[in-house]
Amino acid sequence: MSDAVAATVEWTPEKRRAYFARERAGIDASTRLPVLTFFAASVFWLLVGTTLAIIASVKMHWPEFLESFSWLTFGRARSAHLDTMAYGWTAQVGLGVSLWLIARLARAPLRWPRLLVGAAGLWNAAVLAGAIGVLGGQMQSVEWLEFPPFVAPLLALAFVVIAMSALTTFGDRQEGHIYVSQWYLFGALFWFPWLYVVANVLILFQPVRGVLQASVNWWFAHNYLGLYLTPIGLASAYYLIPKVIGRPVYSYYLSIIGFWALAFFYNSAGIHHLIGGPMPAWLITYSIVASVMMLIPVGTVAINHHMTTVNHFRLVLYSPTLRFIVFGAMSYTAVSVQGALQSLRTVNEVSHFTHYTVAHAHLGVYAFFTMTMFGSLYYIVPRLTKWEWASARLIRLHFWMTAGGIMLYFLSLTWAGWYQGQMLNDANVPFMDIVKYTLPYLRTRSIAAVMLAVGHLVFAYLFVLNLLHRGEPRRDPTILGDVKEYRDMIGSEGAPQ
Amino acid sequence: MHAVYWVIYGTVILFGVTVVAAFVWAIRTHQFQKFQQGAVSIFDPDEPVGEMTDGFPGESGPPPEVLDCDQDELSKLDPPDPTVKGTSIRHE
Amino acid sequence: MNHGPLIFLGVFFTFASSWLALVFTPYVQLQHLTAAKSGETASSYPRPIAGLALVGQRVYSRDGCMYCHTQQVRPEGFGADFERGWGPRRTVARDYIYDRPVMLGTMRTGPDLANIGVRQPSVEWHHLHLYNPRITSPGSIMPSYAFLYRKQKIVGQPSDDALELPEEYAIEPGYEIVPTEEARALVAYLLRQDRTYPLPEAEQ
Repeated sequence: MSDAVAATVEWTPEKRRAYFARERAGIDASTRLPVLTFFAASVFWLLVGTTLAIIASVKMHWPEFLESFSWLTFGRARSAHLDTMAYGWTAQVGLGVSLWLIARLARAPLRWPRLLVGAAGLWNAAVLAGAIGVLGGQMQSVEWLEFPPFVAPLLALAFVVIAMSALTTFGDRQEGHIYVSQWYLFGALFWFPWLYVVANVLILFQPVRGVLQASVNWWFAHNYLGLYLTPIGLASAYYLIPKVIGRPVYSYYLSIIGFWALAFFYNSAGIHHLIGGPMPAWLITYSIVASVMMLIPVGTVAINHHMTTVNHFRLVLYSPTLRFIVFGAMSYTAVSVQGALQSLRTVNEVSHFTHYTVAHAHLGVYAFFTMTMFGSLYYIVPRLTKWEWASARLIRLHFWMTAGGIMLYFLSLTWAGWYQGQMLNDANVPFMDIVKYTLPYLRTRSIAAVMLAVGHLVFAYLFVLNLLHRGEPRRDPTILGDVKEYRDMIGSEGAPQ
Repeated sequence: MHAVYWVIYGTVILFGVTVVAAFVWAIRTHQFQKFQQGAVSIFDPDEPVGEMTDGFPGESGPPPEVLDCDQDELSKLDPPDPTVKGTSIRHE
Repeated sequence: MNHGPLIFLGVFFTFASSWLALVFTPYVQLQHLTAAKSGETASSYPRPIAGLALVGQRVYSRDGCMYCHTQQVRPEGFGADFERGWGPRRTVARDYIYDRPVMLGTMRTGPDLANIGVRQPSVEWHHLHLYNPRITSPGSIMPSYAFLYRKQKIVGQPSDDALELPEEYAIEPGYEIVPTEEARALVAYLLRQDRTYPLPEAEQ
């Protein structure tokens, strides 16, 4: 709208409010189709990944379970679990949240929604083909890259299309300030394709020699969490915590310092997965230093989120989004401090090669990232479907099942892993005694997996109800208005610029 | 092998110089002033500072004492109103 | 702060630095490693994996053995890899120049396999163990790879390579269990796991 028209509007506080509500609703609506597509697909893969997780977990303490099916043998089921969770659930839910955040923070409608749906289709077809490939005997024993090689170009292509749409939307931005969440998202969308393509080329298509494959592998696998999932999780937390409680981030300085420290140090931390291995010593030392330096960005995030919420902590009782994200943010601090300690040679000597590492990985990908994404979905989905969640009780059940499940998971495996490591390093302990020692903890892990599965089913049920507009029609507290109503109020369509 | 060292040292120097240059530039152009204002850019007149924007379905929100709004403090945090020309952060 | 290009530059540089340090530099250092002679040995080590063992490597990779077994021996004094008899020396980068993919592994639910071919050279043992790990290792939680074996009716004499199952695992009379091509390949690959040869950089 031209200045002339804008000048004719008399901007009362109510009209100003209405103007912004309408603008926000319009931008949210522009993301509806692609973002809900990503969410729906990711929830599907979450359930698939959970099923595979339970199968793999049970097989660890009950090896006869489903043993006659070659396609469900432990190595394949476990890897199919990891890859469907990584590329089906985390990557996609992260993309959905990123696209929504990018449009919102840019205050510009999302570009090419239909093309994005096409890209989502390609992505999911590739993940499906990959999962079938892994189970069917085409698996590659390369951690986090087990999909058969033909899947990689498809995933990369779909991702580039999605990233282009996001960057173009970013280029359209109306908002003058680039909020810290956008920095993180910008990084994630740029880093992932680079990582993914380099790793696939150097390991699967034009393999580099020997242990170089291992260093490239861990450079990729660690950065998948560090430079893709972590920035998206933090972007979401940096936006939604202040937004939900209605208070700006405690220190914007710290958030920016944290971003650069993360970008610089997380990058180089991955080779700590090869401590003690047949690698050049300088390479491992370099990664250990970077891992310890990670305390800087983690500290900034922890202080910031703590200080932002400190006087409002009780609000977690009143907001589903906040309780999931605060849980995620606290887990982020925990997992990162643990990670820095774990990269020290003395600690790693014990924790390496044990369930301790498995617990650590789940603390990062689940307790931090997945919980943060659940929180984000509780905020985003009603704003896209224009429909409130069906049941507060089920949301609470979802929270307690997942929070309790992951804590049980983490504690049992951390304990088991630490003692497993101590015993492995004592040659007087027969190997089979170690196996027996871990069994009760592995059973506990299966119980935890079932708890998580219950939480996921509840969430999937709520999600489907929401998509179908089932349950009581409510507007408060999340649905804050209707586009038409605002239009009536302002009496024109344009923007007062 | 020597070529590698050249590449490494070269990159370290290039990277260091870039960081210093960016820092000098940032100080010179007053990038660090009004820094905290960026943090309020995600609020607007419809979802202002001090208002909660999420809650459990079908339940009343937190009682006022939990929200703990110090009005004086909040008014300092109010974002500039982009509908009023000249006050947006972008125009600085 | 509205400086998209500046952020881009920073994001690019930080990432490029890690790429340079963790991918490019090790590449220059290690890409041209070759087999080497050491001491009085006549031939160079390691030797390329070939023949049936190469097929076995694929089976090992596709069934994910790596997710419970490492193929690396840590240096003496770091962990108890020596004391457990998993190898006479630490493994070094040169040991892996022919591995595709390199399956160092990060988990020891089961023992290390870097030198399993030396530690357990019996073909029969490996077949029994793969067919049902509980036969050779009571208490093991390793999955059975019975799907790599075939049950067939005995025609005339039992086959040479039929598994000699102990009583409690015996199958119905008149039938025998024989390894498939894949099982024989996997065992060939396992027996090929020998990193005990001397290498110049591992002489300490």
